[in-house]
Amino acid sequence: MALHSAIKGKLISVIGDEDTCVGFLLGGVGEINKNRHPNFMVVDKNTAVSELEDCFKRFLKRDDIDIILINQNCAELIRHVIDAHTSPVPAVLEIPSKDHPYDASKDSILRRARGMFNPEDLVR
Amino acid sequence: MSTRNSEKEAAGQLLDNLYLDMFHLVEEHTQCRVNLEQSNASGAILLARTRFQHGGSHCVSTAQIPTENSAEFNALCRVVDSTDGISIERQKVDKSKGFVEPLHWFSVLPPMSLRNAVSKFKDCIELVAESTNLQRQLGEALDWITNLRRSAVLN
Amino acid sequence: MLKSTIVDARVRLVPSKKLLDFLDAQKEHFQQVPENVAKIMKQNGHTLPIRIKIIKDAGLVHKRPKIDYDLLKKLTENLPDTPKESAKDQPESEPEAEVKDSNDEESPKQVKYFLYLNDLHWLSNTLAELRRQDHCQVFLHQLIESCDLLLPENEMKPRNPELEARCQRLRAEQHNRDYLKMTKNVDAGLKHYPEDTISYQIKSLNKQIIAVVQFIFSVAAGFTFGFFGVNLMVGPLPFGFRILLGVIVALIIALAEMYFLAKKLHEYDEVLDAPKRKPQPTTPTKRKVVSTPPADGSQVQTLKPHAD
Repeated sequence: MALHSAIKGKLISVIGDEDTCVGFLLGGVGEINKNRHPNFMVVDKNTAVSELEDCFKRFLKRDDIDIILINQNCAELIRHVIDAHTSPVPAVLEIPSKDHPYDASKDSILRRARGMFNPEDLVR
Repeated sequence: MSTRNSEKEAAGQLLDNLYLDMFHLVEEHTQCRVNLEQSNASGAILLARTRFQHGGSHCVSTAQIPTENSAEFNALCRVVDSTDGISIERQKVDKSKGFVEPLHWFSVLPPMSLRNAVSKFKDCIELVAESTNLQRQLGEALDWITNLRRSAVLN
Repeated sequence: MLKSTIVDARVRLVPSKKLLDFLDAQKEHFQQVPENVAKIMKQNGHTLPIRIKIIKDAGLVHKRPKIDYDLLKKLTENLPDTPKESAKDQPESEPEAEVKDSNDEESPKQVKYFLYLNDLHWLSNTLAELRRQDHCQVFLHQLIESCDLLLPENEMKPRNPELEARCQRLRAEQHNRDYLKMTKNVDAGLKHYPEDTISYQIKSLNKQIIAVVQFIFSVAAGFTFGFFGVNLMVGPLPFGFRILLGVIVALIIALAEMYFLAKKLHEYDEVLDAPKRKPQPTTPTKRKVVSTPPADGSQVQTLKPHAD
């Protein structure tokens, strides 16, 4: 515990495809804590949606995580969970991956902004 | 009556400003994500080049990433929350304290392209912090707008 | 069509009828109008008085407005419900109230004109001016609430057909390889195909043996040079020194050679991992891609004769 209290600041966690995870881990965001829980998850085409959802919820519960990065194509799979999460901490960022460019019309917060204007469009 | 009017004027002006602020934030938010996408893509290309030069796709892959069974280690960069948004703080590599260099998972002598990829992804992390700040501000602005719209002063 | 990155990150707002009508009604009081707004009004059949200056706002950049958070807190503090609840149920409760407003009878797909951020800044300033002169008591938010916010959209780009063809060819090849790997121990003809034939083994053995022999030969040559060559060149040397010299030269060469050897053997391993096949006659040529996954099976059939 002494080790952890000595380090200030929170973690960034990553849920994404291989390249995204490898990249951000190279950048130095990765951590495996005392209980052997990593703060990243590699999603490939065999990953089940329920697995993804569980992992996301686990990250939401951890209090040492401040930012959750999630690939937008993964976010699409668990959209209902992301939409349900409205508190600012931890912040959920939908990041583009190399084969899925960023799509503003899918981003949760931008859709909320859009809902201010013509809410009937949200229903569709 | 005049105080009520002036209050209404102020509230209306405030809501207008909030809306304008929201538009600004949406634009900046999008721009930030586009930048993030660009530096992420160039990092991915450098990773791919590393793989190509080393022949075989398993030289940089998830197989080298530590899993639940490997030893614990600490994150090199962390998020520090302060009043004016969050920022990224980096630690020095120090094996004894559990800060390991992630480059060494992949090879002992990392090639140039992998090093360049790392610098690209470090840029990405900075952009992530910026983007988080914008997203938070945007969320706050949206909350304020909804609150203010139902407030009694305007009706 | 393929999605590509967002080029234009600007926010766009589709003006509603209410907004246009308002602009038309108040046009006498405007001093100047941005170019974009003028264009929109013209397209909707509203004419502007000639005296109005049209400003070109190409280089104009507006700063984010300052928000008086103290006032904001004061205004919202006596709200009956908690902000969290309001944030949640707001989107659901709104639709009934606003559907009437925003029904403009024109679908957003047909709309070709948008308001940009600069126009909104202008509108906000103008409205503040109008309110001060008591021409009207309209706020920006009342006007734009009925508008449609368009988020920045991705540009759609058609995929290069050449690239598409190549990708499909590569994908088919990979599927084919996967299929072969999977069916290897089912298909009797393939069972012993690549690795178990003697010729294949001898061939791969040969390559490695050559590499090793090369290594030994060059080390021996290095030693010989150190032991005899230097002696011949410089003159008679003591025996112990000659051996030392030979070993040193041999070691240097061995080190260098070891590096290449390790690299080469590593490559062999990699090649052995992938199921080996004679180059398929169909793949290298730039044929039209027609092979679909079911066709893979038939390709295997045609290749069987090679196995014997």
